[in-house]
Amino acid sequence: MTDAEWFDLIRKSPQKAHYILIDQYSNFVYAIVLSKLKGTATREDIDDCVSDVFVEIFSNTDKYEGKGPIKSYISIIAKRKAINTYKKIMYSRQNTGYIEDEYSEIPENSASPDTLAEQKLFNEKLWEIVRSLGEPDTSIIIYQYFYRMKLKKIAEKLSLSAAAVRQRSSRAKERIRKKLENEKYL
Amino acid sequence: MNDNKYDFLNRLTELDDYKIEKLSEDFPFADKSAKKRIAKLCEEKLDMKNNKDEFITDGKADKITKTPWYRSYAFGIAASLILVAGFGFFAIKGLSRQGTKDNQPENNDFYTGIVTETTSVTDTMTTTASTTDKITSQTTTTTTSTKTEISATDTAEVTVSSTAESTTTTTAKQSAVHYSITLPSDANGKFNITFNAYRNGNFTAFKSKEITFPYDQNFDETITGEGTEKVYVMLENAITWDSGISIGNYVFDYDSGNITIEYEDVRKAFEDAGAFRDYTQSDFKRQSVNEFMSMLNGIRGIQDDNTWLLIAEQSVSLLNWSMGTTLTNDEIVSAWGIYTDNWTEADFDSFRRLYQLVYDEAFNIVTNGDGELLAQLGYSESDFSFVELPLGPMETIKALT
Repeated sequence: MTDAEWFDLIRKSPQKAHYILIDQYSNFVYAIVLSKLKGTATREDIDDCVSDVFVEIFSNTDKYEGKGPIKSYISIIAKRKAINTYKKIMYSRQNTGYIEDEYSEIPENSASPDTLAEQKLFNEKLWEIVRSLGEPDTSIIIYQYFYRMKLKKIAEKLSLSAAAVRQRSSRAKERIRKKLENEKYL
Repeated sequence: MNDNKYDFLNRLTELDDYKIEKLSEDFPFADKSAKKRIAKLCEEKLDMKNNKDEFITDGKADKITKTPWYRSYAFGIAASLILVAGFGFFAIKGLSRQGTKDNQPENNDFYTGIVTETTSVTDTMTTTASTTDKITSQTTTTTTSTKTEISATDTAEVTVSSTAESTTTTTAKQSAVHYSITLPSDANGKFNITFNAYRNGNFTAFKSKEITFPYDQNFDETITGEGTEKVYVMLENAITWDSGISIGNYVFDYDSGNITIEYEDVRKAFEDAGAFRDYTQSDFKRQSVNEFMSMLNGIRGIQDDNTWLLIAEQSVSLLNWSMGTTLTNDEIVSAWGIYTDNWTEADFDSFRRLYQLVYDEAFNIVTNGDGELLAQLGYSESDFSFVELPLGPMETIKALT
Protein backbone atom coordinates (compact mmCIF):
# COMPACT_ATOMS: atom_id res chain seq x y z
CA MET A 1 0.00 0.00 0.00
CA THR A 2 1.37 3.40 -0.92
CA ASP A 3 1.44 6.32 1.49
CA ALA A 4 -1.26 8.11 -0.48
CA GLU A 5 -3.51 5.06 -0.37
CA TRP A 6 -2.94 4.74 3.36
CA PHE A 7 -3.82 8.36 4.04
CA ASP A 8 -6.90 7.89 1.94
CA LEU A 9 -7.84 4.79 3.89
CA ILE A 10 -7.45 6.40 7.28
CA ARG A 11 -10.19 8.84 6.36
CA LYS A 12 -12.52 6.08 5.36
CA SER A 13 -11.63 3.39 7.85
CA PRO A 14 -9.24 4.55 10.56
CA GLN A 15 -9.08 1.27 12.43
CA LYS A 16 -8.28 -0.71 9.32
CA ALA A 17 -5.62 1.82 8.43
CA HIS A 18 -4.13 1.46 11.89
CA TYR A 19 -3.86 -2.30 11.56
CA ILE A 20 -2.33 -2.05 8.13
CA LEU A 21 0.33 0.39 9.26
CA ILE A 22 1.17 -1.74 12.28
CA ASP A 23 1.38 -4.82 10.11
CA GLN A 24 3.56 -3.07 7.57
CA TYR A 25 5.96 -1.24 9.85
CA SER A 26 6.07 -2.97 13.22
CA ASN A 27 9.23 -4.91 12.34
CA PHE A 28 10.89 -1.69 11.29
CA VAL A 29 9.84 0.09 14.49
CA TYR A 30 10.90 -2.79 16.70
CA ALA A 31 14.31 -2.84 15.05
CA ILE A 32 14.85 0.87 15.64
CA VAL A 33 13.56 0.80 19.20
CA LEU A 34 15.59 -2.26 20.16
CA SER A 35 18.75 -0.81 18.66
CA LYS A 36 18.38 2.26 20.87
CA LEU A 37 17.33 0.48 24.05
CA LYS A 38 20.29 -1.88 23.88
CA GLY A 39 18.84 -4.55 26.10
CA THR A 40 17.88 -2.21 28.93
CA ALA A 41 14.12 -2.54 28.61
CA THR A 42 11.54 -5.17 29.46
CA ARG A 43 9.17 -6.51 26.86
CA GLU A 44 6.44 -4.26 28.30
CA ASP A 45 8.66 -1.20 27.97
CA ILE A 46 9.47 -2.12 24.40
CA ASP A 47 5.84 -2.73 23.43
CA ASP A 48 4.86 0.50 25.14
CA CYS A 49 7.47 2.40 23.18
CA VAL A 50 6.56 0.78 19.85
CA SER A 51 2.86 1.48 20.36
CA ASP A 52 3.67 5.10 21.25
CA VAL A 53 5.27 5.48 17.84
CA PHE A 54 2.14 4.37 16.04
CA VAL A 55 -0.14 6.40 18.29
CA GLU A 56 1.81 9.51 17.42
CA ILE A 57 1.41 8.81 13.72
CA PHE A 58 -2.30 8.00 14.06
CA SER A 59 -2.94 11.13 16.10
CA ASN A 60 -1.18 13.45 13.69
CA THR A 61 -1.96 12.21 10.22
CA ASP A 62 -2.63 15.75 9.03
CA LYS A 63 0.84 16.72 10.17
CA TYR A 64 2.56 14.08 8.11
CA GLU A 65 0.43 13.74 5.01
CA GLY A 66 2.09 14.96 1.85
CA LYS A 67 5.26 15.99 3.60
CA GLY A 68 7.52 13.10 2.79
CA PRO A 69 7.51 9.35 3.01
CA ILE A 70 5.64 8.09 6.08
CA LYS A 71 8.40 5.57 6.66
CA SER A 72 10.80 8.42 7.30
CA TYR A 73 8.52 9.91 9.92
CA ILE A 74 8.08 6.54 11.55
CA SER A 75 11.85 6.21 11.70
CA ILE A 76 12.27 9.64 13.26
CA ILE A 77 9.54 9.16 15.80
CA ALA A 78 10.75 5.67 16.69
CA LYS A 79 14.23 6.99 17.43
CA ARG A 80 12.89 9.82 19.56
CA LYS A 81 10.51 7.60 21.50
CA ALA A 82 13.18 4.96 22.05
CA ILE A 83 15.61 7.50 23.42
CA ASN A 84 12.96 8.93 25.72
CA THR A 85 12.17 5.43 26.93
CA TYR A 86 15.83 4.78 27.53
CA LYS A 87 16.15 7.96 29.55
CA LYS A 88 13.12 7.04 31.63
CA ILE A 89 14.53 3.60 32.32
CA MET A 90 17.93 4.95 33.30
CA TYR A 91 16.32 7.61 35.45
CA SER A 92 14.17 5.14 37.34
CA ARG A 93 17.11 2.78 37.82
CA GLN A 94 19.34 5.44 39.26
CA ASN A 95 16.44 6.87 41.24
CA THR A 96 18.49 9.90 42.18
CA GLY A 97 16.77 12.60 40.27
CA TYR A 98 19.99 13.20 38.44
CA ILE A 99 21.30 11.36 35.44
CA GLU A 100 25.03 11.54 35.35
CA ASP A 101 25.23 11.06 31.62
CA GLU A 102 21.90 11.89 30.22
CA TYR A 103 22.92 11.01 26.71
CA SER A 104 24.84 7.90 27.42
CA GLU A 105 22.86 5.91 24.90
CA ILE A 106 25.00 7.37 22.16
CA PRO A 107 28.46 7.40 23.69
CA GLU A 108 30.12 7.89 20.32
CA ASN A 109 29.62 11.62 20.40
CA SER A 110 31.95 11.97 23.34
CA ALA A 111 34.65 10.10 21.47
CA SER A 112 37.31 11.64 19.29
CA PRO A 113 36.78 11.75 15.54
CA ASP A 114 39.43 9.05 15.10
CA THR A 115 37.69 6.80 17.59
CA LEU A 116 34.38 7.44 15.89
CA ALA A 117 35.82 6.45 12.56
CA GLU A 118 37.31 3.29 14.05
CA GLN A 119 34.02 2.39 15.70
CA LYS A 120 32.22 2.87 12.45
CA LEU A 121 34.67 0.70 10.56
CA PHE A 122 34.42 -1.97 13.22
CA ASN A 123 30.64 -1.95 13.09
CA GLU A 124 30.73 -2.23 9.30
CA LYS A 125 33.08 -5.17 9.47
CA LEU A 126 31.09 -6.87 12.22
CA TRP A 127 27.93 -6.56 10.17
CA GLU A 128 29.67 -7.90 7.10
CA ILE A 129 31.00 -10.93 8.97
CA VAL A 130 27.67 -11.69 10.63
CA ARG A 131 25.91 -11.52 7.29
CA SER A 132 28.50 -13.86 5.77
CA LEU A 133 27.97 -16.60 8.37
CA GLY A 134 25.15 -18.20 6.43
CA GLU A 135 21.82 -19.40 7.73
CA PRO A 136 20.70 -20.18 10.33
CA ASP A 137 23.79 -18.80 12.10
CA THR A 138 23.27 -15.23 10.88
CA SER A 139 19.70 -15.26 12.16
CA ILE A 140 20.75 -16.75 15.49
CA ILE A 141 23.36 -14.06 16.11
CA ILE A 142 21.07 -11.24 15.03
CA TYR A 143 18.14 -12.43 17.14
CA GLN A 144 20.46 -13.03 20.05
CA TYR A 145 22.49 -9.85 19.98
CA PHE A 146 20.43 -7.31 18.10
CA TYR A 147 16.95 -8.26 19.28
CA ARG A 148 18.19 -9.70 22.59
CA MET A 149 15.97 -12.74 22.32
CA LYS A 150 16.50 -15.73 24.54
CA LEU A 151 17.87 -18.89 22.96
CA LYS A 152 14.63 -20.72 23.63
CA LYS A 153 12.64 -18.09 21.75
CA ILE A 154 15.11 -18.12 18.91
CA ALA A 155 14.80 -21.89 18.72
CA GLU A 156 11.01 -21.59 18.44
CA LYS A 157 11.27 -18.89 15.81
CA LEU A 158 13.74 -20.83 13.68
CA SER A 159 12.17 -24.24 14.31
CA LEU A 160 15.35 -25.60 15.83
CA SER A 161 16.04 -27.25 19.14
CA ALA A 162 17.35 -25.04 21.92
CA ALA A 163 20.48 -27.17 22.13
CA ALA A 164 21.16 -26.74 18.43
CA VAL A 165 20.74 -23.00 18.71
CA ARG A 166 23.10 -22.85 21.68
CA GLN A 167 25.72 -24.89 19.89
CA ARG A 168 25.45 -22.99 16.65
CA SER A 169 25.58 -19.69 18.52
CA SER A 170 28.80 -20.68 20.29
CA ARG A 171 30.47 -21.74 17.08
CA ALA A 172 29.27 -18.69 15.18
CA LYS A 173 30.53 -16.33 17.87
CA GLU A 174 33.92 -17.96 17.78
CA ARG A 175 34.05 -17.72 14.00
CA ILE A 176 33.22 -14.04 14.17
CA ARG A 177 35.85 -13.40 16.81
CA LYS A 178 38.53 -15.21 14.82
CA LYS A 179 37.68 -13.34 11.64
CA LEU A 180 37.87 -10.03 13.45
CA GLU A 181 41.18 -11.03 14.97
CA ASN A 182 42.58 -12.13 11.63
CA GLU A 183 41.70 -8.79 10.15
CA LYS A 184 43.19 -6.97 13.15
CA TYR A 185 39.90 -5.57 14.37
CA LEU A 186 40.34 -7.18 17.77
CA MET B 1 25.47 -14.04 25.64
CA ASN B 2 26.97 -12.39 28.65
CA ASP B 3 30.35 -13.88 28.00
CA ASN B 4 32.80 -10.96 28.04
CA LYS B 5 34.78 -12.63 25.34
CA TYR B 6 32.00 -11.82 22.92
CA ASP B 7 31.00 -8.40 24.22
CA PHE B 8 31.86 -6.91 20.86
CA LEU B 9 28.72 -8.52 19.49
CA ASN B 10 26.66 -6.05 21.50
CA ARG B 11 27.78 -3.48 18.98
CA LEU B 12 25.48 -5.05 16.45
CA THR B 13 22.91 -2.56 17.73
CA GLU B 14 25.05 0.31 16.46
CA LEU B 15 24.09 -0.15 12.86
CA ASP B 16 23.24 2.75 10.62
CA ASP B 17 19.69 3.47 9.51
CA TYR B 18 19.95 1.69 6.24
CA LYS B 19 21.20 -1.53 7.80
CA ILE B 20 18.56 -1.42 10.52
CA GLU B 21 15.91 -1.08 7.87
CA LYS B 22 17.38 -4.00 5.93
CA LEU B 23 17.71 -6.06 9.07
CA SER B 24 14.09 -5.46 9.97
CA GLU B 25 13.08 -6.83 6.58
CA ASP B 26 15.43 -9.80 6.46
CA PHE B 27 15.13 -10.77 10.13
CA PRO B 28 11.65 -9.72 11.22
CA PHE B 29 11.09 -9.51 14.94
CA ALA B 30 7.36 -9.01 15.33
CA ASP B 31 5.25 -12.11 14.96
CA LYS B 32 1.49 -12.06 14.75
CA SER B 33 1.02 -11.97 18.51
CA ALA B 34 3.39 -9.02 18.85
CA LYS B 35 1.49 -7.11 16.21
CA LYS B 36 -1.77 -7.85 18.00
CA ARG B 37 -0.33 -6.58 21.26
CA ILE B 38 0.77 -3.36 19.58
CA ALA B 39 -2.60 -2.88 17.92
CA LYS B 40 -4.36 -3.36 21.23
CA LEU B 41 -2.08 -0.97 23.04
CA CYS B 42 -2.60 1.60 20.31
CA GLU B 43 -6.35 1.33 20.60
CA GLU B 44 -6.19 1.82 24.35
CA LYS B 45 -3.89 4.79 24.08
CA LEU B 46 -5.93 6.42 21.34
CA ASP B 47 -9.10 6.00 23.40
CA MET B 48 -7.42 7.50 26.42
CA LYS B 49 -6.00 10.31 24.40
CA ASN B 50 -9.26 11.11 22.66
CA ASN B 51 -11.32 11.00 25.84
CA LYS B 52 -8.81 13.08 27.70
CA ASP B 53 -8.73 15.74 25.05
CA GLU B 54 -12.48 15.58 24.55
CA PHE B 55 -11.65 15.02 20.99
CA ILE B 56 -14.71 12.95 20.44
CA THR B 57 -17.40 11.21 22.33
CA ASP B 58 -18.66 8.67 19.90
CA GLY B 59 -17.20 9.74 16.60
CA LYS B 60 -13.51 9.14 16.71
CA ALA B 61 -13.47 8.33 13.07
CA ASP B 62 -15.16 11.61 12.20
CA LYS B 63 -12.56 13.56 14.02
CA ILE B 64 -9.72 11.72 12.51
CA THR B 65 -11.30 11.89 9.13
CA LYS B 66 -12.54 15.42 8.75
CA THR B 67 -9.79 17.49 10.19
CA PRO B 68 -7.04 16.05 8.10
CA TRP B 69 -9.20 16.13 5.03
CA TYR B 70 -10.01 19.82 5.27
CA ARG B 71 -6.53 20.70 6.31
CA SER B 72 -5.07 18.67 3.53
CA TYR B 73 -7.41 20.33 1.09
CA ALA B 74 -6.40 23.76 2.31
CA PHE B 75 -2.80 22.73 2.20
CA GLY B 76 -3.26 21.55 -1.33
CA ILE B 77 -4.74 24.85 -2.41
CA ALA B 78 -2.02 26.80 -0.68
CA ALA B 79 0.66 24.63 -2.19
CA SER B 80 -0.86 25.02 -5.62
CA LEU B 81 -0.94 28.80 -5.27
CA ILE B 82 2.66 28.84 -4.13
CA LEU B 83 3.62 26.62 -6.97
CA VAL B 84 1.88 28.81 -9.50
CA ALA B 85 2.95 32.16 -8.08
CA GLY B 86 6.23 31.46 -6.49
CA PHE B 87 7.75 28.63 -8.30
CA GLY B 88 6.43 29.33 -11.72
CA PHE B 89 9.92 30.49 -12.40
CA PHE B 90 10.96 27.04 -13.37
CA ALA B 91 8.19 26.86 -15.90
CA ILE B 92 8.92 30.38 -17.07
CA LYS B 93 12.51 29.42 -17.51
CA GLY B 94 11.50 26.52 -19.66
CA LEU B 95 9.10 28.60 -21.72
CA SER B 96 11.57 31.37 -22.03
CA ARG B 97 14.12 28.97 -23.34
CA GLN B 98 11.73 27.76 -25.98
CA GLY B 99 10.28 31.13 -26.76
CA THR B 100 13.50 32.97 -27.21
CA LYS B 101 15.33 30.31 -29.04
CA ASP B 102 14.58 31.64 -32.48
CA ASN B 103 15.73 35.10 -31.56
CA GLN B 104 18.98 33.99 -30.11
CA PRO B 105 22.21 33.50 -31.90
CA GLU B 106 23.16 29.94 -32.57
CA ASN B 107 24.83 28.09 -29.79
CA ASN B 108 28.08 28.01 -31.59
CA ASP B 109 28.28 31.80 -31.39
CA PHE B 110 28.95 31.23 -27.75
CA TYR B 111 30.71 27.98 -28.05
CA THR B 112 34.05 28.60 -26.62
CA GLY B 113 36.61 26.44 -25.09
CA ILE B 114 39.78 27.56 -24.06
CA VAL B 115 42.62 26.45 -23.48
CA THR B 116 45.86 27.98 -23.56
CA GLU B 117 47.55 31.29 -23.73
CA THR B 118 47.28 33.53 -26.72
CA THR B 119 49.80 33.51 -29.44
CA SER B 120 48.58 35.64 -32.29
CA VAL B 121 45.44 37.26 -33.60
CA THR B 122 46.17 36.17 -37.09
CA ASP B 123 46.12 32.55 -36.16
CA THR B 124 42.78 33.00 -34.52
CA MET B 125 41.19 34.68 -37.45
CA THR B 126 42.34 32.06 -39.85
CA THR B 127 41.09 29.12 -37.88
CA THR B 128 37.70 30.44 -36.85
CA ALA B 129 35.94 30.22 -40.16
CA SER B 130 37.06 26.76 -40.92
CA THR B 131 35.88 25.25 -37.70
CA THR B 132 32.26 26.38 -37.49
CA ASP B 133 30.91 23.09 -38.74
CA LYS B 134 32.86 21.23 -36.15
CA ILE B 135 31.42 23.36 -33.41
CA THR B 136 27.87 22.76 -34.47
CA SER B 137 28.42 19.10 -34.64
CA GLN B 138 29.99 18.97 -31.23
CA THR B 139 27.28 21.09 -29.66
CA THR B 140 24.51 18.83 -30.73
CA THR B 141 26.19 15.58 -29.95
CA THR B 142 28.17 16.78 -26.95
CA THR B 143 30.97 14.49 -27.79
CA THR B 144 34.38 14.99 -26.41
CA SER B 145 36.93 16.85 -28.40
CA THR B 146 39.83 19.11 -27.84
CA LYS B 147 39.53 22.76 -28.70
CA THR B 148 41.74 25.71 -28.57
CA GLU B 149 40.77 29.33 -28.31
CA ILE B 150 43.26 31.97 -29.06
CA SER B 151 42.17 35.46 -28.22
CA ALA B 152 44.07 38.66 -28.23
CA THR B 153 41.72 41.56 -27.81
CA ASP B 154 38.62 42.42 -25.81
CA THR B 155 36.54 40.96 -28.57
CA ALA B 156 37.07 37.32 -28.05
CA GLU B 157 37.32 35.00 -30.96
CA VAL B 158 36.55 31.36 -30.91
CA THR B 159 38.46 28.73 -32.63
CA VAL B 160 38.30 25.04 -32.63
CA SER B 161 41.01 22.84 -33.86
CA SER B 162 42.11 19.31 -33.58
CA THR B 163 44.34 18.13 -30.81
CA ALA B 164 47.30 18.20 -33.07
CA GLU B 165 46.53 21.75 -34.14
CA SER B 166 46.17 22.99 -30.62
CA THR B 167 49.50 21.54 -29.79
CA THR B 168 51.14 23.49 -32.49
CA THR B 169 49.33 26.76 -32.11
CA THR B 170 49.48 27.28 -28.39
CA THR B 171 52.11 28.06 -25.91
CA ALA B 172 50.94 26.35 -22.80
CA LYS B 173 51.99 27.56 -19.40
CA GLN B 174 53.28 24.77 -17.22
CA SER B 175 50.81 23.56 -14.58
CA ALA B 176 48.10 25.98 -15.58
CA VAL B 177 45.31 26.33 -18.06
CA HIS B 178 43.73 29.49 -19.31
CA TYR B 179 39.98 29.31 -19.33
CA SER B 180 38.03 31.83 -21.32
CA ILE B 181 34.50 32.19 -22.56
CA THR B 182 32.71 34.87 -24.50
CA LEU B 183 29.84 36.21 -22.49
CA PRO B 184 26.45 36.87 -24.11
CA SER B 185 26.36 40.53 -25.09
CA ASP B 186 22.64 40.86 -24.40
CA ALA B 187 22.75 39.48 -20.87
CA ASN B 188 22.12 41.53 -17.79
CA GLY B 189 22.65 41.08 -14.09
CA LYS B 190 25.41 39.90 -11.82
CA PHE B 191 26.71 36.35 -11.74
CA ASN B 192 29.31 34.15 -10.14
CA ILE B 193 31.24 31.59 -12.13
CA THR B 194 32.64 28.78 -10.04
CA PHE B 195 35.10 26.03 -10.87
CA ASN B 196 34.33 22.69 -9.27
CA ALA B 197 36.06 19.35 -9.29
CA TYR B 198 36.17 16.10 -7.44
CA ARG B 199 39.14 16.29 -5.18
CA ASN B 200 39.87 13.47 -2.78
CA GLY B 201 36.60 11.97 -3.89
CA ASN B 202 34.54 15.01 -2.99
CA PHE B 203 32.95 17.68 -5.10
CA THR B 204 34.69 20.95 -4.32
CA ALA B 205 34.29 24.51 -5.55
CA PHE B 206 37.90 25.60 -5.80
CA LYS B 207 37.61 28.95 -7.52
CA SER B 208 34.92 31.56 -8.01
CA LYS B 209 34.76 34.90 -9.79
CA GLU B 210 32.04 37.51 -10.14
CA ILE B 211 31.00 39.03 -13.45
CA THR B 212 28.69 41.99 -14.02
CA PHE B 213 26.86 42.94 -17.17
CA PRO B 214 27.23 45.03 -19.22
CA TYR B 215 30.77 45.71 -17.99
CA ASP B 216 32.15 42.24 -18.55
CA GLN B 217 32.16 40.94 -22.06
CA ASN B 218 34.57 38.08 -21.64
CA PHE B 219 35.55 35.82 -18.86
CA ASP B 220 39.20 34.86 -18.58
CA GLU B 221 40.76 32.99 -15.76
CA THR B 222 44.04 31.20 -15.32
CA ILE B 223 43.69 28.06 -13.27
CA THR B 224 46.69 26.39 -11.77
CA GLY B 225 46.91 22.75 -10.90
CA GLU B 226 48.67 19.50 -11.48
CA GLY B 227 48.17 16.68 -13.94
CA THR B 228 44.66 16.45 -15.33
CA GLU B 229 41.29 16.76 -13.67
CA LYS B 230 37.68 17.01 -14.70
CA VAL B 231 36.31 20.45 -13.96
CA TYR B 232 32.68 21.50 -13.81
CA VAL B 233 32.17 25.20 -14.42
CA MET B 234 28.97 26.42 -12.82
CA LEU B 235 27.01 29.63 -12.96
CA GLU B 236 25.16 31.35 -10.14
CA ASN B 237 22.90 34.38 -10.40
CA ALA B 238 24.10 36.77 -7.71
CA ILE B 239 20.76 38.58 -7.68
CA THR B 240 18.28 35.76 -7.59
CA TRP B 241 20.77 33.26 -6.18
CA ASP B 242 19.77 30.82 -8.83
CA SER B 243 22.71 28.44 -8.78
CA GLY B 244 24.02 25.05 -9.77
CA ILE B 245 23.74 25.87 -13.48
CA SER B 246 26.28 24.17 -15.67
CA ILE B 247 28.30 26.18 -18.15
CA GLY B 248 30.33 23.18 -19.13
CA ASN B 249 32.29 20.11 -18.16
CA TYR B 250 35.95 20.04 -19.08
CA VAL B 251 39.11 18.09 -18.59
CA PHE B 252 41.90 20.46 -17.59
CA ASP B 253 45.33 19.21 -18.48
CA TYR B 254 47.45 21.55 -16.41
CA ASP B 255 50.72 20.17 -17.66
CA SER B 256 50.02 20.74 -21.32
CA GLY B 257 47.71 23.71 -20.80
CA ASN B 258 44.98 22.10 -22.86
CA ILE B 259 41.33 21.92 -22.03
CA THR B 260 39.15 19.17 -23.40
CA ILE B 261 35.53 20.12 -23.60
CA GLU B 262 33.07 17.38 -22.79
CA TYR B 263 30.06 19.64 -22.68
CA GLU B 264 29.61 23.37 -22.93
CA ASP B 265 26.72 25.69 -23.55
CA VAL B 266 27.40 29.18 -22.28
CA ARG B 267 24.28 30.81 -23.59
CA LYS B 268 21.97 28.17 -22.23
CA ALA B 269 23.62 28.53 -18.84
CA PHE B 270 23.01 32.27 -18.77
CA GLU B 271 19.54 31.75 -20.07
CA ASP B 272 18.84 29.28 -17.28
CA ALA B 273 20.34 31.68 -14.79
CA GLY B 274 17.89 34.37 -15.86
CA ALA B 275 20.29 36.67 -17.66
CA PHE B 276 17.82 37.47 -20.42
CA ARG B 277 14.71 38.24 -18.45
CA ASP B 278 13.25 40.92 -16.25
CA TYR B 279 13.18 40.01 -12.61
CA THR B 280 9.77 39.38 -11.15
CA GLN B 281 8.27 39.24 -7.71
CA SER B 282 8.77 35.52 -7.67
CA ASP B 283 12.50 36.09 -7.50
CA PHE B 284 12.30 36.02 -3.74
CA LYS B 285 11.86 32.31 -4.09
CA ARG B 286 15.28 32.07 -5.65
CA GLN B 287 16.79 32.98 -2.33
CA SER B 288 15.30 29.83 -0.88
CA VAL B 289 16.51 27.81 -3.82
CA ASN B 290 19.96 29.24 -3.41
CA GLU B 291 20.01 28.35 0.25
CA PHE B 292 19.00 24.84 -0.69
CA MET B 293 21.72 24.53 -3.28
CA SER B 294 24.33 26.09 -1.04
CA MET B 295 23.46 23.53 1.58
CA LEU B 296 23.81 20.75 -1.01
CA ASN B 297 27.13 22.22 -2.17
CA GLY B 298 28.30 22.14 1.43
CA ILE B 299 27.54 18.46 1.71
CA ARG B 300 29.25 17.76 -1.60
CA GLY B 301 32.23 19.71 -0.36
CA ILE B 302 32.98 17.33 2.50
CA GLN B 303 36.57 16.44 1.82
CA ASP B 304 37.12 13.61 4.19
CA ASP B 305 34.09 11.64 5.27
CA ASN B 306 36.01 10.26 8.21
CA THR B 307 36.28 13.70 9.73
CA TRP B 308 33.39 13.89 12.04
CA LEU B 309 33.53 17.64 12.63
CA LEU B 310 33.10 18.39 8.93
CA ILE B 311 30.13 16.11 8.82
CA ALA B 312 28.73 17.68 11.98
CA GLU B 313 29.05 21.16 10.48
CA GLN B 314 27.10 20.13 7.43
CA SER B 315 24.58 18.36 9.63
CA VAL B 316 23.91 21.61 11.45
CA SER B 317 23.67 23.34 8.10
CA LEU B 318 21.14 20.73 7.00
CA LEU B 319 19.12 21.16 10.19
CA ASN B 320 19.21 24.94 9.83
CA TRP B 321 18.04 24.71 6.29
CA SER B 322 15.37 22.14 7.08
CA MET B 323 13.99 24.36 9.81
CA GLY B 324 14.15 27.60 7.88
CA THR B 325 13.39 26.78 4.28
CA THR B 326 10.23 28.15 2.72
CA LEU B 327 10.39 25.68 -0.12
CA THR B 328 7.53 23.26 -0.37
CA ASN B 329 8.07 19.60 -0.98
CA ASP B 330 7.37 19.98 -4.69
CA GLU B 331 9.68 22.96 -4.94
CA ILE B 332 12.48 20.98 -3.35
CA VAL B 333 11.90 18.23 -5.86
CA SER B 334 12.02 20.73 -8.74
CA ALA B 335 15.15 22.44 -7.45
CA TRP B 336 16.78 19.08 -6.92
CA GLY B 337 16.02 18.18 -10.52
CA ILE B 338 17.74 21.32 -11.74
CA TYR B 339 20.66 20.89 -9.39
CA THR B 340 21.31 17.34 -10.48
CA ASP B 341 20.53 17.87 -14.13
CA ASN B 342 24.00 16.97 -15.38
CA TRP B 343 24.88 14.44 -12.71
CA THR B 344 26.30 11.10 -13.58
CA GLU B 345 25.61 7.93 -11.62
CA ALA B 346 28.91 8.49 -9.86
CA ASP B 347 27.74 11.95 -8.78
CA PHE B 348 24.56 10.48 -7.34
CA ASP B 349 26.44 7.69 -5.60
CA SER B 350 28.88 10.11 -4.06
CA PHE B 351 26.14 12.43 -2.86
CA ARG B 352 24.03 9.58 -1.52
CA ARG B 353 26.93 8.38 0.59
CA LEU B 354 27.74 11.83 1.94
CA TYR B 355 24.12 12.70 2.59
CA GLN B 356 23.60 9.55 4.61
CA LEU B 357 26.54 10.51 6.84
CA VAL B 358 25.25 14.04 7.30
CA TYR B 359 21.68 12.89 7.80
CA ASP B 360 22.66 10.35 10.45
CA GLU B 361 24.80 12.90 12.23
CA ALA B 362 21.96 15.42 12.19
CA PHE B 363 19.85 12.95 14.13
CA ASN B 364 22.67 12.21 16.48
CA ILE B 365 23.06 15.89 17.21
CA VAL B 366 19.40 16.47 17.80
CA THR B 367 18.64 13.30 19.67
CA ASN B 368 21.75 13.72 21.72
CA GLY B 369 20.90 17.32 22.51
CA ASP B 370 24.58 18.03 22.12
CA GLY B 371 24.42 21.63 23.27
CA GLU B 372 28.15 22.15 23.42
CA LEU B 373 28.66 21.02 19.88
CA LEU B 374 25.76 23.08 18.61
CA ALA B 375 27.10 26.13 20.39
CA GLN B 376 30.53 25.55 18.86
CA LEU B 377 28.96 25.40 15.45
CA GLY B 378 27.07 28.59 16.07
CA TYR B 379 23.75 27.09 16.84
CA SER B 380 21.82 27.49 20.03
CA GLU B 381 20.63 24.28 21.58
CA SER B 382 17.41 25.96 22.58
CA ASP B 383 16.57 26.39 18.92
CA PHE B 384 16.16 22.67 18.60
CA SER B 385 12.97 21.17 19.73
CA PHE B 386 12.82 17.74 18.29
CA VAL B 387 9.08 17.56 18.56
CA GLU B 388 8.62 20.71 16.55
CA LEU B 389 11.51 20.22 14.21
CA PRO B 390 10.18 20.24 10.65
CA LEU B 391 12.15 17.36 9.26
CA GLY B 392 10.12 16.99 6.09
CA PRO B 393 12.65 18.79 3.86
CA MET B 394 15.46 16.55 5.12
CA GLU B 395 13.36 13.51 4.43
CA THR B 396 12.45 14.76 1.00
CA ILE B 397 16.12 14.94 0.04
CA LYS B 398 16.72 11.51 1.48
CA ALA B 399 13.88 10.16 -0.60
CA LEU B 400 15.29 11.86 -3.69
CA THR B 401 18.72 10.35 -3.21
